[in-house]
Amino acid sequence: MRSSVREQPTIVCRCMDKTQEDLIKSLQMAIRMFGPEALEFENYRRLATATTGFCQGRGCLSLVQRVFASEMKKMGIEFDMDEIQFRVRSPLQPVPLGLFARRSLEEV
Amino acid sequence: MRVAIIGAGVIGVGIGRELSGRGVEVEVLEAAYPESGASGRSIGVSSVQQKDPRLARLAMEGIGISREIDRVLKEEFNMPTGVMGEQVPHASIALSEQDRARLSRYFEYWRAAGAEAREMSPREVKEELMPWIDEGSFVSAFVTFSDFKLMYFPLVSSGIMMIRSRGGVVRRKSRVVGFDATGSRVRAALLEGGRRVEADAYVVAAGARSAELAAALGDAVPPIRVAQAGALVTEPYKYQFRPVVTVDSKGYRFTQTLRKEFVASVYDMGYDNEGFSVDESLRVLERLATVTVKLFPSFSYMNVLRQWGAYLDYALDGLPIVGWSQKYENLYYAYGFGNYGFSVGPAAARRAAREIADGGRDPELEPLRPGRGRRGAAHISGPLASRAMVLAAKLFRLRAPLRPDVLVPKLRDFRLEREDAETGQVLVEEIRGLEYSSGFLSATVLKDRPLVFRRRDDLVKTVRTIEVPFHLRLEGGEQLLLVLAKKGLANEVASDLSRIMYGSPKMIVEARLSHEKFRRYFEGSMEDARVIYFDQVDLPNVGVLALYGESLRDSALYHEYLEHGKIWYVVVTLPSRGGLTVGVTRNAIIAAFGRATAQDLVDFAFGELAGLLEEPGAGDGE
Repeated sequence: MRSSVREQPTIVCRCMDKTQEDLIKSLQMAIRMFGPEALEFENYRRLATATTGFCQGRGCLSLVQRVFASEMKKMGIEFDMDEIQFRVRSPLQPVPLGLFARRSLEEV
Repeated sequence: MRVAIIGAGVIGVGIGRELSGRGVEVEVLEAAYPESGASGRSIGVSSVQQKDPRLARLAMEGIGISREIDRVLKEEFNMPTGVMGEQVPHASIALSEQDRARLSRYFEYWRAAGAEAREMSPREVKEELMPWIDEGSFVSAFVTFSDFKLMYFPLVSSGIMMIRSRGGVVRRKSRVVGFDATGSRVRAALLEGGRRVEADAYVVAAGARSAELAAALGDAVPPIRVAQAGALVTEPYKYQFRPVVTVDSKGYRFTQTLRKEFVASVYDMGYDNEGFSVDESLRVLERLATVTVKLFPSFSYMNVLRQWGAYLDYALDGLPIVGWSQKYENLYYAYGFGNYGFSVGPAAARRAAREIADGGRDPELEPLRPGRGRRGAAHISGPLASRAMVLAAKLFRLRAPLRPDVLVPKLRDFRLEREDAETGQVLVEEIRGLEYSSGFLSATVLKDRPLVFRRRDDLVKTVRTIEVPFHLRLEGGEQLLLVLAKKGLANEVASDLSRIMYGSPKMIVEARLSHEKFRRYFEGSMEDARVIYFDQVDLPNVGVLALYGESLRDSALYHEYLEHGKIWYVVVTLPSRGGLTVGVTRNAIIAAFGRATAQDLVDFAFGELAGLLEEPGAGDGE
């Protein structure tokens, strides 16, 4: 029989095209590199590149954090969600550079 | 041997990696998470373009070390990306002839360090390196060819991996809040939550927070200034923009990452910012946008996705601080790497690790010692010197004459440490850069102030050092002091100097201008006056009278006002001094407007204002 929808990968980070499986693999690698004593979400997201694309986490941050936290828990690593310091930052919408450019270099 | 390292940035992890390679057991303690400070906010350029010949040498040496790490990662750790990224041309842009003169000095350092480098004209830059640049926007570019764009996150994470593979450990959320020290040894580092970490030696590599840790130990280290910095990243665009572009006069760097986004950073927005505010983020963004669009007008459509900030720690002389503490025999410092931790860090870390593990003193690190420049006339030069120029000043008189041969040694050796009652930090006041010739003395007072600000959820305690240049006229007329600062700070420095010179705070007093002489002097240049304020007005319910704009042209009004009050403040353009525009009050506060330099102000104060003072002891009824 043909495969069902279940075999389709679950895409979590759309900008960087990361599936749930990719994220779990990256987490295992991140743990190997940093060790459970050192790894924080910020290091993980850079290594996995999830949340670093066009939306800068505006669309996927909570999903990626959830994968991170639940997998850490499965591995028996204690991790307090309050520790996660990564937040969405300005500008809230992409803005063209020209909008902020002053006329002369003396002004900045 | 067991070493505890405080700080998991590029320096702390770098030293840890080198130490563990020498068989040392390493524990890295990080307050937040690895590379949470300046290291994680960098745009990832390793550059030989340093502003000091010794730093340029270390940066060149670092290339070899990075190559070696790159090879080890690829061959032994199965990390195919390595750390080296791509070797690219790096163009330092001179916007003006003044920039060019300064950069050409640095250029010699880069060449002397062995970098392939050449000066290119705007046209050559456009044709050979980047067709997008506006060749009319700059006068020249100094280009090196040995720099590289790092695969920057792996530089710290691979270091952690190497430390772990050799039995060491890196711990996040392990904030050092104090030390247990007896005599000349540190016994333990105390962590938040009560844990003690004991080791044979301790390394402070906590970047902008290092001074705070030194203060907790009561150890005097060279003061650092925490500079605000920031960066942005755009969407990815399909250009092949390989070079790195730096505009040092704007503290600006720009390149395209290996992922095709453009990144721009500004590595110095000034020192006096006590924590980020929305306004300051906007200032950072405006500077980044303005410089980018000026150089690359066609990039003005690029969408900014994200902006972030950083704190960079710079020592006053621009050199990092690397070496054993002068107070504790098992405490080592490595901080103050400002914006060049990725460039100078690898070589400094290797040399520091050698000293920590094997003993001995590395001559190449001698200029970077924590004890350097604490006495005598360490001269401040380069960009910090120009930043110290304040275009406000106040003139004071010395109440009792002093002989230069007595005074000069007194000021030259001056250094005072005291503990701040509230924060327990060691505050230093010292005089540097003293020069004396033919009756004129010039020097700079460096004064620490405790600075507490909030960063994220923490209260950060650090020290801010204020630089106040001053000039003394000791011969050729009445002895006068000119302090280059706004009036509040100028008064404070004058009374400090009085204490140093006379042992009493009241021997240096405000110089006052004689009203008659003041009036006559400025009536000579009435056509060029911009504003005149009158005080001591004898009309009921009138505090101050002012003349400006059109009303200034009415000389009848001027004479009428003069009958009722005294001239308090005048702003005037002086054709006799090359069009210098100054504001002067009767108590000798001077402000210079426009493009005046500190030298203009000094010449004006001693050359002109000194002749307008009241006779000592006299007063005109104030």
